[in-house]
Amino acid sequence: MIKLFHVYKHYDTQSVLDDVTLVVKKGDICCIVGPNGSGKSTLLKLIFGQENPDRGQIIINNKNVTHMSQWAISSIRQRMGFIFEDCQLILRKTVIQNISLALTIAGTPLKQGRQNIDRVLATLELEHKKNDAVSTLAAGEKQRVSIARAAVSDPLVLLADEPTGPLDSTATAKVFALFRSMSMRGTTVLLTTQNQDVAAKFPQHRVMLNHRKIIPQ
Amino acid sequence: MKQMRYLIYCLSETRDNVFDYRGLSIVALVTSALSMLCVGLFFLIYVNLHEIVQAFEEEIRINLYLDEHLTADQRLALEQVILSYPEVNNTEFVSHLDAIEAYLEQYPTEKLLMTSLDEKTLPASFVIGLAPAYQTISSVTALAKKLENVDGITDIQYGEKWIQTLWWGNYLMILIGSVVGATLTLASITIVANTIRLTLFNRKHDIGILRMLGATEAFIKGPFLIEGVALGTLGAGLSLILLKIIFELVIYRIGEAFIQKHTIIFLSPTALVGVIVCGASLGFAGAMLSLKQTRKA
Ligand SMILES: Nc1ncnc2c1ncn2[C@@H]1O[C@H](COP(=O)(O)OP(=O)(O)O)[C@@H](O)[C@H]1O
Ligand SMILES: [Mg+2]
Repeated sequence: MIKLFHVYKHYDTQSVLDDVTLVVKKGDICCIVGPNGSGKSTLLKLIFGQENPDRGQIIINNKNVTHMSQWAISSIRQRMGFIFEDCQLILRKTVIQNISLALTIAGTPLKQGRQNIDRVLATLELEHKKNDAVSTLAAGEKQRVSIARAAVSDPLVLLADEPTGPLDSTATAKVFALFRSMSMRGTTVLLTTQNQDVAAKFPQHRVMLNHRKIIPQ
Repeated sequence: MKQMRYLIYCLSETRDNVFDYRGLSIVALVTSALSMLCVGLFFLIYVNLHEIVQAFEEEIRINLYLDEHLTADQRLALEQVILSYPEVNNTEFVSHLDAIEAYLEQYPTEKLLMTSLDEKTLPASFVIGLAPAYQTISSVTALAKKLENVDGITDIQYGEKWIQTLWWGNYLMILIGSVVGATLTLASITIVANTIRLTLFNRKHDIGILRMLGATEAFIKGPFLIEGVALGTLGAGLSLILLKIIFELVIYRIGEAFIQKHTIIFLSPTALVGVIVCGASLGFAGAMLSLKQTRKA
């Protein structure tokens, strides 16, 4: 469950979020749609503890994460998956090493971890690339590795920042199917897009971020 | 078995770090090995000198030469005084005639000189054996000082000069060894620390990603600590191999040639383990030093 109450955020002189309130229930998928520079990434970074809000409260799974210690942020992140706009992969490592890193950090037992890895590799069609160094992959493949890493540890919360940007329509469909199956197993999913067609796939819970405000659709 | 997964991660990460920056790692390895070799050499020499000194200490006898005018009664009284010292284990009386006999036994060709061997040149003496607890250079010297002023004793001899020299040599070894050892140890710690600091710097981007994934500082430090310990331990191992080679080729042969009574020994198994443990600690210290501020990395 993700709750934001009256959250404000500015960079330098520019206000980015202005009194944003948003609630996503456990197991729901929420899609935030908004144009470039509307503050979507900033919103996710606040939830992720990468940025601090100026004002307001952020609550994840009944834990108030506003202004947490670094150690507490680490332990929250171990239960979260984040798909970054710029992938954030370790290029010198292989696909499987990047993915299993999330499990190692989350402290998942070896055997259970192996099953999870096989599952996400199959879902995202990465099996044939699993021992390749990430540096040799195409943009869409990197993006899928990043998604696989976020999904592999069965996180309580999945934050996906424009996850299907570099993907073709087949891959996009696969990724959304993965998100849906994760949400059915209890993961709360918050994703962003600037693409109205993508947003149209999530009619149940879709919000518009524009002019620093959340506008329910 | 989540520790297992972390262990595998740490080891593979350490391997990558060492291999990707092998130039740096080799420099750190070789310098720490050489400094530990220096310390090892001093230690080896110290151990052997110590052995020799100890063997001599066990054999130390003090000769107390007696006033030639001493009567038999006075001599017995003097013996009681000498025996009252706790350092003294036993006394043996060597008369003027015994001394001449011993002298002739040693130099049989000088029989002609017998007439000149009067009581002044070969006086009677007490030979003192020392109690086990006092078989050290320092207590012998102290005892000799005390006996100097006792009436009836004209001269005291215990081969002090060269035993003293040996003792000082040993002492000097410890001193130089400690100073050189401390300096070189500090240098190796610094070099290991710098190696890891550079690796850390090169891995800055990766470490950022680890933090994004929820890695704690302890998690991030693991592989670097292992790298430090590995470098230190390997360095120690390498230094021992070099030390053994130098021992076999140089030290042992010199010892054979110049010191007959004692065999030159290599470091004991305990000392070998000690050197390895020192290497590991040195690497650990270096790693800790470089990891003090990972936050900034
Ligand atoms: N670290 C930052 N420092 C200064 N300005 C920033 C920073 N991050 C984002 N911004 C600004 O905040 C606004 C929103 O950015 P962002 O949240 O990335 O938008 P979106 O993801 O919706 O495209 C943009 O105008 C951007 O320039
Ligand atoms: Mg963005």
